[in-house]
Amino acid sequence: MTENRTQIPGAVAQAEGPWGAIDLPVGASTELDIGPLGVALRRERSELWIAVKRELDGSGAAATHNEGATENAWTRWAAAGESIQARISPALADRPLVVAPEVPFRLAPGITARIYVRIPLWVRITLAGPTDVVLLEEPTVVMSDTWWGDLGTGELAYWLPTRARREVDDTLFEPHLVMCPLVLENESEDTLPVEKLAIRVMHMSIFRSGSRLWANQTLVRYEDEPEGSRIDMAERPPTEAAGAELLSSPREKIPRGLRATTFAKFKSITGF
Amino acid sequence: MRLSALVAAIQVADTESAGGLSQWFAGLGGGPILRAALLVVIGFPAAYWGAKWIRRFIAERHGAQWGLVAGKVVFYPALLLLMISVLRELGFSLAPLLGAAGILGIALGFASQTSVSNVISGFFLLGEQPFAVDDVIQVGDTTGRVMSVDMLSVKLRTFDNRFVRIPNETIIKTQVTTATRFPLRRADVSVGVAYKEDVKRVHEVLLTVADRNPLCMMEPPPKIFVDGFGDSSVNLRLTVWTTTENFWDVKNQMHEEIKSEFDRLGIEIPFPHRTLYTGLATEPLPVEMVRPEQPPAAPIGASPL
Repeated sequence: MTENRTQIPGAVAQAEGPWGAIDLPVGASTELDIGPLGVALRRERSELWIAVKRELDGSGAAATHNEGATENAWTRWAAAGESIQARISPALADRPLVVAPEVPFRLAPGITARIYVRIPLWVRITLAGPTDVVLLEEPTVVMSDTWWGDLGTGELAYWLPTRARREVDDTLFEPHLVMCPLVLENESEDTLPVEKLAIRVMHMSIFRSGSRLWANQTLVRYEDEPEGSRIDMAERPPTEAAGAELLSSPREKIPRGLRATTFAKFKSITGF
Repeated sequence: MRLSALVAAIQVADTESAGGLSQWFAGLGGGPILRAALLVVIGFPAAYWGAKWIRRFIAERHGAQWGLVAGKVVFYPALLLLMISVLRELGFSLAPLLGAAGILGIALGFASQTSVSNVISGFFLLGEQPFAVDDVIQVGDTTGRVMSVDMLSVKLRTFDNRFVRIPNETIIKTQVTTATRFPLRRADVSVGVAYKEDVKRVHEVLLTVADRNPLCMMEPPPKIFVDGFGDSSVNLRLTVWTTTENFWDVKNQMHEEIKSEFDRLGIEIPFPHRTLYTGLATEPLPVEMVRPEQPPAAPIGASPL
C-alpha cells in the first residue's frame, strides 16, 4: 500500500486518502503518492502548478514523459482568487482494455466463471468551480497500446496482462488499482478459450468501500454470435462491496443492450 | 443551330427574368451604376458567406473535401449570376456576349485539352476518393499533406513547408500512396549485428525493447526477420505496429532505444572498417596534433531571459 500525502502548511485536504478536494491558498503546496505515480500541487500567486512523476516499473521501463518532478515537468495553470480548490479523483481509461490472462483458461459450454481483474487508475485533477475544469489526467501506470479486432474494423485499446484471479483478498487492493469483477458466461455450444478479452472500462463507475476501490460488475454472455457478446453492466457496486459510495461516474453512459466483440478470435490480423 | 437556339432562349429568359429583379432595383431609384454597385455590395458578400456556410455544413457531415466542393459549386454559379445581373443593370445585352462567348468557348476548348483532361480527372478523383483533404500522400518523389482537391489540381503542403501543385491528370496516371488512410502503420527498423553475436539473444533483446515502448502495439505483435548476411553483419529487421500519428515517434524511439540497449548489453553493431595506406608501407602515417579551438560563444536567446 503506497498511499501517502505530504502537506506543507496551508494546503487543506478535505477527504481521507488521495481522493477529494484540496484547498490551496497562495504559497501552499502538497504532494500525493498514488501507487507508482506522484503528484505535486503548488499555488504560486495567481497560478496553480502541477507536476507528476512516475516510478520505474519492475521491468526497468522508464516513464516516457514527465519523468521526475523536475522543474521541466511542471505545468502552470492560471487561477484567480485568494484560495482555489483542486479536486483529485480517480478515473478509468478512455479506451477499452484488452485483458490477457497470464495463464489462459477455457470455459466449457454452459459454464459461468467469475474473475477479478485489477485495473490501473487514471488520476484526474480538476479545478473546482461553478463548472469543474479538468486540468490534467494522468495514468498511474502507462499501459501499452494494442489493437482489438482486424485491421479494417478494429479499435485502439490498452493492453493489460492479468492473473484473472478467481478470489480476492485484502492484499490485492492498492490505491492506484480498482478491482473489477467480471462474470463470464459461455452460452454457446463450444468450449470458449479465454486468451484475451476486451473490457469497456469507459462505461464503468468507481465505488469506494473503505480504502478499497471497486468497479461495477460486468456480465459477459458469449453466444458465438457475429455481433459479439452481450454485455450487461450493473449500475450499482458489486455484491462484495454492497453499500459502497460512488466515487467517479463513467466517462460514457452505460448503453442498453450493448453487444461487442469481447473474446479474441483473430487468427492473424496482419496476414503474416 | 444550337448556338442560335441558345441565344434566343437566353434573350427570352433575359426579358422575362429581368422583370422582377430589375423592376425591384428600378423601384429603388438612382442610376444604373448605383444599382449595379448595390448589387455587387450585397450580392458578393451574400455569395461568399453563403458558400462558406454551405462548405462548413457539408464538411461537418461528409468531410472537408466534400465541403470544399460544395462551397465551390455554390460560390461560382452565384458569382456568374451576379455578374450577369450587374451587366444587365449596366445596360449590356447578354445575348451577343454569350454568343461570342460560345464561339470563344469552342476555340478555347480545342486549345485547352489539357485543362479539360484535368477537370475530368478531377471528377474521377472526387468519385474514387483515393485521399481526402488533410491526408498525407506521396506522388512520385513528393510527399505532403493535401490542402485541397480542386477541379484542375491537387494542392499539397510538403513537410518542409513548400507548396506543390499537382495536375489532376498526373494524379490519375501516377501511383499515389496515401500514408494516413488506415489508423495503424508498421514501422520497420533495420539493424545489423556482428557475426559473433548470438542471434537468438539479439532477437530477445529486440522484442524486449519493443515491449517496453508503450506506443508499440502489443497486437499486432512485433516480429523479427533475418534479412540476410551482409559484408560485415547479420542483418535483422524488427517490425512494430503503431498508430499512424505515432509512426515517426516510434521509428525514432526504436532506433534510439535499440542503440542504447545494445550498448548496455555489449552487443556490437559492426560498421565497415577502412585501412589507410600512405603509399610507403614501412613509414608510419604522419599525425599532427592540433590545439582544440575555443568553443563558440552561446548565441543570444539560448537560455530563457
